[in-house]
Amino acid sequence: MTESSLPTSEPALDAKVPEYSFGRQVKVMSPARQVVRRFSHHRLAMSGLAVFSIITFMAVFAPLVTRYDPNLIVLLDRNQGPSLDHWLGTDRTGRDVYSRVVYAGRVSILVGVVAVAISVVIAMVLGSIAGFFGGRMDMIIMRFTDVIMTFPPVVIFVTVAALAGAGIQNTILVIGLLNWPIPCRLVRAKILSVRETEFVIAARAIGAPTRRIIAIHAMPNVIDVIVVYSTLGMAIAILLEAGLSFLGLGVQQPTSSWGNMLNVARNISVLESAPWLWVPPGVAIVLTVLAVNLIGDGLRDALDPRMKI
Amino acid sequence: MGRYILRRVLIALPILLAITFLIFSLQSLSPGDPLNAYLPPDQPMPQAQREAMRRQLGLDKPFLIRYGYWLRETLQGNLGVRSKTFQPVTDAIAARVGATLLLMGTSMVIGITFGIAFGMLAAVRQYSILDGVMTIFAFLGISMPVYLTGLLGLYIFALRLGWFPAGGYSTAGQPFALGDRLHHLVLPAVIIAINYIAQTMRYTRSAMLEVLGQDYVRTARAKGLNDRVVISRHALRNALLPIVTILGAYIPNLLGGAIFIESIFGWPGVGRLLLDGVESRDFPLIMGLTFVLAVVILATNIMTDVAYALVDPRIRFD
Repeated sequence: MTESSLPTSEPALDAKVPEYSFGRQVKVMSPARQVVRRFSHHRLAMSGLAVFSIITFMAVFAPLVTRYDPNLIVLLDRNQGPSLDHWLGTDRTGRDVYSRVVYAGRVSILVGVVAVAISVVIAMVLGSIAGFFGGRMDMIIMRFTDVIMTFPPVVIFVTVAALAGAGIQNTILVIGLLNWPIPCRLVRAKILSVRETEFVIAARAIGAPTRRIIAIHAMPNVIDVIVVYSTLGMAIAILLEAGLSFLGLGVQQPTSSWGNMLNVARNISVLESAPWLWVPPGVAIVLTVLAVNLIGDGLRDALDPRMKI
Repeated sequence: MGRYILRRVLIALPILLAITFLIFSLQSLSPGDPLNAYLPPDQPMPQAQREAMRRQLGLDKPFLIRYGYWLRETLQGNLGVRSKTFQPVTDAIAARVGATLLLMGTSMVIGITFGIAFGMLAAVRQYSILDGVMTIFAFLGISMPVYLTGLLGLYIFALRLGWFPAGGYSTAGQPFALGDRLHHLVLPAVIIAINYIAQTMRYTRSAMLEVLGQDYVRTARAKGLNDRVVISRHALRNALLPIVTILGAYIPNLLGGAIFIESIFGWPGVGRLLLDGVESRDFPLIMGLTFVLAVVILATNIMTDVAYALVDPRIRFD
């Protein structure tokens, strides 16, 4: 029952009447509304959401908030410090750093969203199969998960990225295809507990096929874990993309990414003499990841504070 | 106990096999002639000689046979030779492993010490200003990638303030001196540790808060014991149990951090060796390194679980 159905003639009702007064109208919030309410009261999460919205807005509408083409080379203006013309200066080929940082946001958000989508889909399929069927199937899938998981993430990413070749597409694939073990375990654990609930037993008793039980009864219960993981996974994906690009194994020039903008600072004279080249992309990474992590934290508190992620 | 360890090792073996197979197949699938890593394509050389070389290296054999060769030699302790220099891979790794262990070990000690201390303080003074400051620090520590803190640390403490050398393993042209080594070690080790401190701190804080709410802590307080004894003897000991598990679980991340930090600080460890191998497409080196690292990680995983069972007598081996 929603707020609007409250009789307006009796304003005292919603405040005074305790919940056990049957037969009268009581203000009840739907679970979804409760989650939204709890989230919107989470101050850190809301500031994270605000920061992330601004970053996304700037990335999506990049041409509107920048004055220069990010790939426009103007050799006459190269290596300039920040000025009124170029707010964050120019790089060694005279490209506008501010434009490049803003456009790079597109790469980071794209990589984050698509890579997480890939790993979440794999995790949901494998995790629900493992959890629901158990036995040999479960063992095979979980051992496979162990193989992917035991590896130091960066070591395997560096190796695989180097072997698969650089570029946005491969970076997304590498990150997406190697990041599913954690959500897979989460989904499996949740499915294992859902499998024993009365409503699943009831559905089975009336002869519902397993496919339907998974899709209609089990999946909705996994959504909260997936939502929280997606935010954390996005932070991980953005950091990985930047890391790979920093090492020169991810997104390649001339496309700008925060990671490959940091790459020039591996040269110690650039690091020392041109901080405007590496500080802005660095700040952008930290702000984005911090904002996404705060949103994730707020979502977890709003959905289920006892969730272990 | 012995049987438990044996079983864990037996489970680890197929995982190890699968990892090496995965990397080996990726190498075969990667575009380009593998011979190019040994002989640059622009090097003038008759085609017949190139083919002879290919045969000699076994590169003309089918994929599975090559993998079989690699496996057989690896089991006998031979990881092959680097494609550019023909230096044995085992020698290349052995020459670099010490530097990485020194770096990671120092970071680990710093991370554990400060992480547990900060986490304990934050839990004991929950919701105080100190707790708030530390929570913010933890969030920043987790959101700042190690390559960024590395660049920042190098810029501020080495280039601007001049407190530490700007990278390297020791001062060039001078004989080995402990003080000099430590001087080079502190900055990169602390930078890798930042993330570790943040993680351990968050974990300790929540473990500590959970324990502080337990009945036996209330009993200890009710007995009239002072706070210090309650916290160190009754609460911390129990809170430390779950923390043991993350100490081992964090080793892969430390190794990842080492790759970036070694590259930024010019630290001659295995992380940089791997990057070198990747850049020159040195397949034997990549293969050998991933194999060694996988062994190390699987071994630490098993050791962590055993250590956990040792410190917590409630856990049974079965």
